[in-house]
Amino acid sequence: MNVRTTARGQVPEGGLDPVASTPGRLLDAAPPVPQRTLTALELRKTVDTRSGRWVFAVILAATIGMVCLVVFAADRDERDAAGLFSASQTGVAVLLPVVAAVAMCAEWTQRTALTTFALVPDRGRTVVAKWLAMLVLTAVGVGVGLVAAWGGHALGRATGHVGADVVWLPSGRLVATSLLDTGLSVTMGLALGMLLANATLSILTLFGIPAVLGILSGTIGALERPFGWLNPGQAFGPLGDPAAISATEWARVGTAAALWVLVPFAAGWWRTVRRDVS
Amino acid sequence: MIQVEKLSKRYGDHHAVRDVSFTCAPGTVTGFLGPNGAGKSTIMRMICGLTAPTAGRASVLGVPYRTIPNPGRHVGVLLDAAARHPGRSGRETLLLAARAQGVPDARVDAVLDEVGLASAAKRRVGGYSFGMRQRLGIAQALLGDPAVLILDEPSSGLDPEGIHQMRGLLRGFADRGGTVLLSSHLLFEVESVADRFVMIARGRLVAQGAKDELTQGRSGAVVRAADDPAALRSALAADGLAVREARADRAFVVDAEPALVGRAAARAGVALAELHGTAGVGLEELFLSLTGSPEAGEGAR
Repeated sequence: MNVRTTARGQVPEGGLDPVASTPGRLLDAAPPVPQRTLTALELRKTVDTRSGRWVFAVILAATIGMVCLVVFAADRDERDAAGLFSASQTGVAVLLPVVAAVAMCAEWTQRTALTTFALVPDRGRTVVAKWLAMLVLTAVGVGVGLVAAWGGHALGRATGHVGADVVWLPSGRLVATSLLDTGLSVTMGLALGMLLANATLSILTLFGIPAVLGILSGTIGALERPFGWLNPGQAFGPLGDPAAISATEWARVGTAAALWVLVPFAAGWWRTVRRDVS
Repeated sequence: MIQVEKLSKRYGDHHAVRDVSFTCAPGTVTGFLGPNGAGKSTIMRMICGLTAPTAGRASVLGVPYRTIPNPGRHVGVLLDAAARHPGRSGRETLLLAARAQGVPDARVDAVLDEVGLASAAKRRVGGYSFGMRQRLGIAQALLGDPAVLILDEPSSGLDPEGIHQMRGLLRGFADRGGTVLLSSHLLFEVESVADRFVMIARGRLVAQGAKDELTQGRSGAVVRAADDPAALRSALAADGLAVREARADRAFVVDAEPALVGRAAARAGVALAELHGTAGVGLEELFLSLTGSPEAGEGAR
């Protein structure tokens, strides 16, 4: 900690005067950083720790592993572009929502919120940055999945496991609805992370909701119909399926999304913005 | 410039902070003193807009902290050196903070060098000692070349050399026109660097001012009898001199000039082993009397 003898205020950026105490001057001094910078920072925060890099290694391994499994072990009629692509999204769909929940909860459990929210007091900007970062990762997951599916296809053809008549790429609609599917799931993960602020609880809830609702509708016949609308695991299902999606199915997607994505997101936002940081 | 006006914070029935007001002027270091749990951290978090006050308000550089568009460039904050992701390196931690306030990456290496962490910059923070985390926190506070520093217990965990360096750094910062608010539960950590003191106990402000102002009117004498403390005590009582404190070494701290104490002892024929003024210990006594016991905290309202 050597004391510098240079006069303060010599850093040119922002032109900050060390004794600037008039509010007017302060307000023009340094502008807030743009939203895209905050988003880039949140992306960086998902990969700049060893545990973060491990998660992405596992997702990549799952992507490749599931594609290979389909190529070599699935029924022959499932070894098409849609089947390979759907398989590639397994790891992404399961783990990216967890990444989203943990990204939010870590601010509280590692107490980095103390720095994050001191530097960016408008906490909504950080929440939006985390959300945009997760959507970027969703798109990357779909992109990597497409590459893996294409590679699996090539491997299958070379080894005779995929027929020469099979198309190379899944339909644009399936890719788009897969993006929506994972986008909804990561938003739900982020929302639960904001609302519960505890990684374990958020992850349990994330997987617990579809599991519990699924078991209940399986055992109690009267619940089967209503839970088709309420269970995100069931309602979002058609988004990852190449078959045409009916109007009713879209309505189910909307209902489940409102209940498990929109409501927790709004409540979580409210809590995150108001909460005392300690 | 930091202004705190009638700040209060209540958690349920617990009044963590009650009606605290003080001001920190540019060019000064304010020592923010109080026992652990007195409410220092809560007040600092309220100043930084991280905790919402139940009543009252705080401003930094004339405006509420949360309205500053890019606060890192004006206010350097260290609220808890332990609040770090252990998996990131020291450099990565600062890089995130630098980019979040639009400061060039080169500044990260400059501040790491300034606090003597350059050689440990690539190590994970999880492996840092508490003193190293404090240095990292101070480096982070300096990143945006701020005009105000708000540091919560920055000296704890530092080795004597680190404390000495930090004093020099903060003194230089204030001498160049900066404002420093520096908390500690130990007087000696801030006594030599602070120009002014704000003392709180049990959430209330119990004293504030420059050292001279605080100790004025509380000057006294330390006197120790050569053989007979009881005789000395009655001699003091006979002259109406109040004993403020009976120390463990059998000396008394008296609310009176040394000359008065000397005359009282001479009249009673009590031999003395020690008699001197209390200028040097006044602040510490004040600190302990105001913050030390629960009764003192209540009584100093």
